[in-house]
Amino acid sequence: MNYLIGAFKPSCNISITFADGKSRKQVPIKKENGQTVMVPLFQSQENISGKISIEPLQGKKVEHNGVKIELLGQIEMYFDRGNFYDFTSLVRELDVPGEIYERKTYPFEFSTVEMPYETYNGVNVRLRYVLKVTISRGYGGSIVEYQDFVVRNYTPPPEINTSIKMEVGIEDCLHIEFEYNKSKYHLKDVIIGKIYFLLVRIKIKNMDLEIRRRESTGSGANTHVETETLAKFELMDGAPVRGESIPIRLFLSPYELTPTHRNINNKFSVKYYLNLVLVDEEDRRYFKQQEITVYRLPETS
Amino acid sequence: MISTQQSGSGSSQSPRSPSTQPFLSVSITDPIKLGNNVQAYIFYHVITKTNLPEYQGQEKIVIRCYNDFVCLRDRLFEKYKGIFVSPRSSKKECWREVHFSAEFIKMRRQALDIFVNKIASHHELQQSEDLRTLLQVDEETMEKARPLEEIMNILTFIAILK
Repeated sequence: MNYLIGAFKPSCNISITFADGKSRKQVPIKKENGQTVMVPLFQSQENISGKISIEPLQGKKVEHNGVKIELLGQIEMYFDRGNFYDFTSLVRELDVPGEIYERKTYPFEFSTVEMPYETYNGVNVRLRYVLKVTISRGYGGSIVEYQDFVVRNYTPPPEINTSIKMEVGIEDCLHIEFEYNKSKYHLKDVIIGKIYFLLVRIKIKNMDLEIRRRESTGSGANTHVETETLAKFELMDGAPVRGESIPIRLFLSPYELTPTHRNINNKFSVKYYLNLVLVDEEDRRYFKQQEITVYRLPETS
Repeated sequence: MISTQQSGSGSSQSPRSPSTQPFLSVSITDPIKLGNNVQAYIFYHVITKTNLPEYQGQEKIVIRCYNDFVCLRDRLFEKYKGIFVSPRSSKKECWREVHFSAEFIKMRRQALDIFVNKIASHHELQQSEDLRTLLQVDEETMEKARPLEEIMNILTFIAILK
């Protein structure tokens, strides 16, 4: 339904349907108004095709200067609200100027569409894909209808996936060796590792492992960073001693992770870090942050 | 080292009483070695005492390394052209063993203490956001603010004032 707020009643109904709408997987997205809707899921290089139906309402006819459909890939920065940067823009002209008296249907097709970036909904930035139908009119104002869809891209398991193993410490105070089994994890993976205490001269009361997401937008002096702690997992409760080893087993699927995004269109990055935190009896916090790469594995249906 | 400061710069306000004069004083103390055998860094405890409203409370302690001060110096040099900023004390390229000798650390600590207090007692440089960042932000934020070439694999910590 397209709405015109105010005295004007909508002059027509525009519906956008996908050719494989019934068979294609749908995923939920949250709209601007807070509502959650289901939209089709695509990946890069797929064909996006379907039909547009325009139906005039209340017996009125719709005079227009042309009908077109666009496929847009957009990045929106929240501090620049309403300002969309189109990194992808494809258009299909559907009709020449004329009149629509009764329901008219136009097929559309975008073939092998390059959609290199995934849909992303973040704190300060979002990346979305949308189909936009425009019925151009001079005086009455153009009529526009949108249909969101989601794009996810998959990466095969990396050929090389070294473990992360490091010794860090504070001289004469605390020395630990931490190990995480991989440096690249997929969204439903599990982090397996351990923390080994080489030297403990302070009284530690607990140790947690946090997963943190850092979303950075802009560049250079105008870089803005938002950090969110997505998970906090208690590894140990109590004071460890020298020679003690604490295991780590952290499943990632319960958490709202996305793949690591590096410098998307020079506009934003999303990175993930494991933050190991130790707290001593005097509430001092000791921490070691380590970046991990997160990727999306192809789904086995 | 407490430094008192005349208020304003040529303003015609009545002089403030000594208790409300803005002051900012910094102590560089207690060096500590972070890292591991291969990659280690000396950090210092930096205690800031102030009554400036832009600062988080009267007293704060953070831990910072020598290079953080070098970066501050470079930034101030860029932003405050026309003001004489203390010259960089030479970043000595010498054997690692020297870098971790007690004398070298003591010398650096003293040099940093003098340097940062000169900045803190300058009426204009005192207002600088870069100075405030260096003296106030927590260690997690500071880690991210350091240049990428300087990623230090360290177990760091948030110091607490006793």
